[in-house]
Amino acid sequence: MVGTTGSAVATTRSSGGLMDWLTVPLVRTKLWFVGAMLNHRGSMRHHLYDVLPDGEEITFDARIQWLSWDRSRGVHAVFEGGRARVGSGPIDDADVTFRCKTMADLRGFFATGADTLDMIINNDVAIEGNMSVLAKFGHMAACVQLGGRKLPLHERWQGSAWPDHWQDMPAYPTGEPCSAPPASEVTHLAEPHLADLDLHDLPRIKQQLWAYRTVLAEWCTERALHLTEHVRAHADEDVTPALRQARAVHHLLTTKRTVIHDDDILAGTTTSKRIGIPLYPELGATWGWSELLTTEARDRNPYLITDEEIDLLDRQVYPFWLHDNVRQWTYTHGEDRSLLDLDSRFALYFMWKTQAVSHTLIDTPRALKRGLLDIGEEADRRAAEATEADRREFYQALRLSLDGVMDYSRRLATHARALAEAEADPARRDELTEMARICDRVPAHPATTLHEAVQVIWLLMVALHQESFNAAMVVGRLDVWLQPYLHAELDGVDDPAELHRRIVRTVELCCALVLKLTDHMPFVESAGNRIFSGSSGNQVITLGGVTDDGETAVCDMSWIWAKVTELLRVRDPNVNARFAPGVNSEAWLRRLCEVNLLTGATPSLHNDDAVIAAMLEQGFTPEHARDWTATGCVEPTSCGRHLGHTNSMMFNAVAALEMALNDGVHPLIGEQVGPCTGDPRSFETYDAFLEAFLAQLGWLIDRSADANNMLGQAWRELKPTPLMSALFDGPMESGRDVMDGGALYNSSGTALIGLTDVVDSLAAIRTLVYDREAVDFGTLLDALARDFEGHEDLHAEILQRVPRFGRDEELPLTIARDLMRFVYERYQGQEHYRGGKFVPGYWSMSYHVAFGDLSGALPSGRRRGESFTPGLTPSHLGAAPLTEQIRTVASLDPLHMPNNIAFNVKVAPGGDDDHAAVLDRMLAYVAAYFEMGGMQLQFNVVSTETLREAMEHPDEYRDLLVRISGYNVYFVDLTREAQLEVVQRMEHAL
Amino acid sequence: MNDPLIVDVRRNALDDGPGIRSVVFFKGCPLRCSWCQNPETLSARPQLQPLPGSCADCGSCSAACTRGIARPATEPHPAPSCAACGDCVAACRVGARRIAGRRWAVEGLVSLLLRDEPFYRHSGGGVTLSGGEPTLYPRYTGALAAALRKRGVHVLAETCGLFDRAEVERHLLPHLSTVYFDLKLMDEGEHRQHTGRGNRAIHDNLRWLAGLDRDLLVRLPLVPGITDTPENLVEATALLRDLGLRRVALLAYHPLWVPKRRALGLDLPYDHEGWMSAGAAERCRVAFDAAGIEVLGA
Repeated sequence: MVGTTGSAVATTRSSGGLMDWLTVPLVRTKLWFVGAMLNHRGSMRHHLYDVLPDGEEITFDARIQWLSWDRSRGVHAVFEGGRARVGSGPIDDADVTFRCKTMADLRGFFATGADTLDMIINNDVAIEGNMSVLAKFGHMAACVQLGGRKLPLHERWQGSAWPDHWQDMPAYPTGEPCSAPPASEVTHLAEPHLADLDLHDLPRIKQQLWAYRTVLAEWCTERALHLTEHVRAHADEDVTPALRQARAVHHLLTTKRTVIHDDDILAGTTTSKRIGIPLYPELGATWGWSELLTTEARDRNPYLITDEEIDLLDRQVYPFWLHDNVRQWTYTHGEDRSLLDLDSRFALYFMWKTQAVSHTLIDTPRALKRGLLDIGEEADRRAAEATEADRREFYQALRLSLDGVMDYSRRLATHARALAEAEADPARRDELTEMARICDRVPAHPATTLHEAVQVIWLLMVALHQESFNAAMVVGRLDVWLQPYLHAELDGVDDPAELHRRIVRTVELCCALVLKLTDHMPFVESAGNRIFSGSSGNQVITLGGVTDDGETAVCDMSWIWAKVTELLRVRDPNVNARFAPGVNSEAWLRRLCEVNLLTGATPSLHNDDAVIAAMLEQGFTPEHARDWTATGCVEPTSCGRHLGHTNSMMFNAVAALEMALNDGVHPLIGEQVGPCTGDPRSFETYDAFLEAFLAQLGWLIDRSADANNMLGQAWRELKPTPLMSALFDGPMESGRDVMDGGALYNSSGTALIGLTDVVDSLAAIRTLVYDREAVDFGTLLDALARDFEGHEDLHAEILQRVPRFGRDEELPLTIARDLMRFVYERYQGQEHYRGGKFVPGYWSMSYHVAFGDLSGALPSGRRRGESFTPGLTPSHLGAAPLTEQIRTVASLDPLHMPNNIAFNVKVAPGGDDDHAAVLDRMLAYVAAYFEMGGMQLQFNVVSTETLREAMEHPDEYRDLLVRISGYNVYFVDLTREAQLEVVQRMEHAL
Repeated sequence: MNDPLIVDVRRNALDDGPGIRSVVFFKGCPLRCSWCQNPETLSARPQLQPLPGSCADCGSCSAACTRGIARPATEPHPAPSCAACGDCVAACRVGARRIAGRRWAVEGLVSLLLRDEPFYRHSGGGVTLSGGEPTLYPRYTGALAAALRKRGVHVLAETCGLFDRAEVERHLLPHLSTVYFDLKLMDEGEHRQHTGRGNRAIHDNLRWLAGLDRDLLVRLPLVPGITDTPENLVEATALLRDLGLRRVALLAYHPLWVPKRRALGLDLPYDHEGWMSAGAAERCRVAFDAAGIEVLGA
């Protein structure tokens, strides 16, 4: 089974003959102990047999086996009729099978404190079957081990509590005043930088920011509990999936607690907590089952939970979702479960559709202009006209979910009114009264004021998160959409003091919206921190660019959002900015650079020309191509009409290379994965090796597309999204849900990770093995297997004498271009379950760290386990000057990267240059990059020295914002590996 | 004179003139300043330059050397007997040595430099001719500067001030946007002692340039114990005032040249391995401040 060619990742775990022989009896004893506790200890019995408050009896029935790699030896546990039985050897019909690489891994699985998901990611253990059953078992084992008590909050986080320790916060420095406001882009702001405004002018925002910075996130059981209750009560109803889902969403919205905090300007909350983790048990939330007792003890990103909530989730929520979730449904109903088994090896690709179809946005302007009532009435009309039952139920579903949103808003109004009546402070009373008036009016009716419009945008985000997972639901083009309301607000106001007051009020409203968007975090397992290190909801706001007819879209509101970004420096929402060369003013680009310089990490900068060209190639009309927003990290989506699920998967391009080096065996997985493409030692030419590599890459691309389509079918059958569909352009006309291809445009976006590492590796193979014949392939494979130990001279030669991507040289650039064309054509040629196409992109979230961790040494000179290069960024090993890096990345063809790229540049202003001089240079780099055709660029403005200090003293740098590969994060929340990746990025002077 | 040798083209340079620039380092210099920052540019001939940082100490250089003199880059290079044939460079797998100095046709160099033209344009940068001494080759540097200027590129030359005035005036100067002129020691004897040549011609050239309506910046390297003495600085001030020059750039000393010079197998006529403190640099600027001369950098 294990590959016979040189394996890149050597397994060096110790394995003793006697210990191996003893392993089965040993783990069987441990397992027996767990079983005995569950069978006999009163406080543990409910894990296997439980009676809920409503009298329903629940038993945990599952068959789990833990086997040696060849499946010949091992142990099993059978849970049946409220009892646990354990035994030796394999069993039939297992719900879950674990295969352990070595007997030491089998022992490790049962060791105290073992993180089984971590072991699976490491490929020490392979899992086949139901992940949720694993989580349930993990929780039971943890209960036995910890006596059912949760571990205390990690000491690092103790004492974090608001508002007990309110401290005044320093305001961040603001930029320079605008020297010459561009008349075509600014109509109402005399000084669009608003340089004299800082946080101290917005006391309530400061208070909200304080809360955000100090409050720890908490699990919120409300959604999960309400959904479970609803599904249990209505399990027998025979309706279309759309109507079933709409009833669930309606139930969630009409039972959702109305929460209005003392410092709220906008009404509504994603969860019932100040910062909550909403739970989606129908998706992946059951994975968190095993961490209920340890969730507070994490040193990074802990979530708070009460004992009551643990009990609720464990007994009244999760048991109902063990088999009823998207991944498991696909596993049992899908055509090819091996596609999911590959997914759960983590080293090849990561399928987001097991968790969510998000990474898109609704047609917000439609909701603002028409109001939900009008949209709902259209659904009614269409339902009445529909001749088929399915079609009729679909429109009823749209209507029902909209009703849920309006109900929630009206209840917020009632709540606000009640608070107003009890409020002693007259100013706050007026505010609450106004809040009540607004929530009564919108979103049912069209928004007429800026405040109403902002409230609608927020409320719709809250509502959508009751239906869909809270990752990468996009907010959109808030400058363009809010500008008409700002216009109305400021038009005809001549008194400078009043004008100033209204502008400050607008800034306050926008800040309030941003801080509202930070009121939730997606659930991430401990092991998940390795993969989505420190990531938040990744809700995107996009600024600038062009209007539908190609004119400048930059407006007063764009500048106000730039100011808001500068004022708050928060991780989420992820601010992206568009610059249209020749259309937008240089002042706009300079201001974007300034905000990036001051915040250190945001916004991310996009070249409108390149993105729009790529979208036109994908078949968008010019108007629709121009109306794009970034999504999740950087990916373009046409607003409100395009279900692009732009992060449908994260794809490890290096895996294909490792497989080509090992005749189809992936060294970490340790098995034949891809096709047999031959022993590289037998290849006479570089082209022969390249062909083998492309065969592996193409094979993996095909598998990933199949896996995506298979999961997509599950969403269509299981989880239509009537609320999102009601607010989308397309479903109303087509009569189909967005999960069923009802949107005007459809696609799935992929992200290829490690392209630079592949290109540098291919360049090294070509240069050293074939062109220069400096080393033979066998020696190279041996060096890789030994992580270059004993091959230091070869390693040095690779580093010093091989042309690398990022240097202004022909070979690596040609390899990169050819490869990107291959990937593009291969993906575009795939069938897509909703219609539309697969679109590749090159950004990496923090997967370049995770995938790097799971990969061996590479011909590029990168050593085993080290991070890949982030996004589409030249490797730090090449140390290419910034101008050469920029020229290289700008030379790639935007048409072949329609899902965008993340080009990471770390700069550190040095010397005695003043703000303006540093800004001039930053602007010059960006302007030159865009002029040369570059698509996207993101700066981290921070010195390596500061990053090292922040690693040493995290508590002093809690708000240090960095951009990983598309998303923002607080540096101190990153895993150590991800921190080191940012540290080792090449630092360019500025 | 033949086409000159070029040691390096450094792209994305932020410290050799305004904006984002590319710097061309010419080989060959009439002075022999004991603190020279670029000792590999002193000789006008090709030269073996060991790069100790990358050396794996494997000995393949010694094995490849037909004269039997090559040593790993970590050891001093026996410079006088080396013919810079390049055999050891070809043999070195890890790139720990190179031949410093290659010829470029003007057209080829121009097209390389123009690859960063958008950066120059957007940043107010351009190309800097440095060295070594670019005025040693006025026909070549003049042709280079002319071709660049034709494409709208700002061209700056850094000079030690010792040049053939007529040649420079005829071939190079018309194509320069800016001249950076290095002034070192005011005392003729000391100048001769530390740079190998007297300073009279240099000061005459400065006087001549100052009299033309050219963009000119005088720079003074602050070398501890040599150029940073109060006497020298006061006299420099006097000269600048005399010439009507109101600005000066003071270049704080740094010792990065020392290991480079050692590796080349050259002797160390001046040995000062410390970095200049901010305080010391600050004291130097006082003399100029007092004279109403604006100080840049330092």
